Amino acid sequence: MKGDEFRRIALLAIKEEARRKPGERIYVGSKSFTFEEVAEGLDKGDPFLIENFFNPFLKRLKSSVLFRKQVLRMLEVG
Amino acid sequence: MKALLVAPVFDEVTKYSYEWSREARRLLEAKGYGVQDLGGREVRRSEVENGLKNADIICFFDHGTEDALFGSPSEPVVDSERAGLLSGREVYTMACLSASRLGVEAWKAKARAYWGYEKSFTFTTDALKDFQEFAVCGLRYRLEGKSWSEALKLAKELGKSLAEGLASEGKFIASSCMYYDADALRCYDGEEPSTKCLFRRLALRLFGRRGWYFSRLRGLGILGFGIGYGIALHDYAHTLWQVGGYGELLAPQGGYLGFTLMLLSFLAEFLDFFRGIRG
Repeated sequence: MKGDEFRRIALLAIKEEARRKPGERIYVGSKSFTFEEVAEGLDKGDPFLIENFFNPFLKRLKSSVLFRKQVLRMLEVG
Repeated sequence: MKALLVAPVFDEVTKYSYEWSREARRLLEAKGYGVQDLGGREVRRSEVENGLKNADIICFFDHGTEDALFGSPSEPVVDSERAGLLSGREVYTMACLSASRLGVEAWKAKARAYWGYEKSFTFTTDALKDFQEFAVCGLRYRLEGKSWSEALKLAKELGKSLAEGLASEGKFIASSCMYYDADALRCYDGEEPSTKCLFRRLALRLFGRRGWYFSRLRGLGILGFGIGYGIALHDYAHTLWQVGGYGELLAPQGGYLGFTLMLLSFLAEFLDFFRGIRG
């Protein structure tokens, strides 16, 4: 799996979870977003969300085989 | 034993951190601590500084930046410039970012421990219990009798285990946040601060832990003195050589006495500074 593929899967996973739970919120420091807003923000390339949320998600996806399998399973089901 | 619990409320996030601080209070009281509780509202710096006078441990549940912990949107209640107030105390925070600078300053000021996060603390509303458990776990481990070093190790393990549990429940966003938090958690003296600064690393290599006490200004001062001293000595020696060749250069000169005194004075000042800091 290449870098772009990881990014695509990470984005799909976040969007899928946001679709399922649009009203849940994430707090990053003093800022807060609904999951739906996170998905929209990432689509627009929001640098704050990319640095503080997307990149860690991507790092986890790349480094943990178990996490990756679970994400892929969700995407298959979704 | 006395504890100062600071948990201001002034926005949406702090309502959660205040709730989590209730568990910290319960844990402290169960261990026999007398708890001075400053929370549920905006808190002033003066209240915290007064409370610190008698506290063995301070627990802070709220916003932070690299340099400060905030009691209201605009007022820092503890900051790097007054990190000396934390000297001799254990500091437990869930504040964002503060371990990166305030924590290091507190450690340098001889705080017994500083627990905090090097990056933003993130959490999600679909896993509040897990994030609360993680936010308070270090204090719980410590009060159970673990060293700060052991508490840090256990907290990181717990964070990663909670992250795996959340992923298995399909809460991937929460899982990623939890993993990120566990990764950003720091505890000095559980561990020594780390640095990416090349000069700091050089100072640490040369002087061990004392390398933390060299400020940028002091480093620049030493560098400037060394370069200036070298230039002046070279020019002086060159002038002597022009006047009388090697004979003049090697003859006793008043200027050499001046250079020797300057060097000895510099070394005396440096040694005085060096001996005055904690190794």
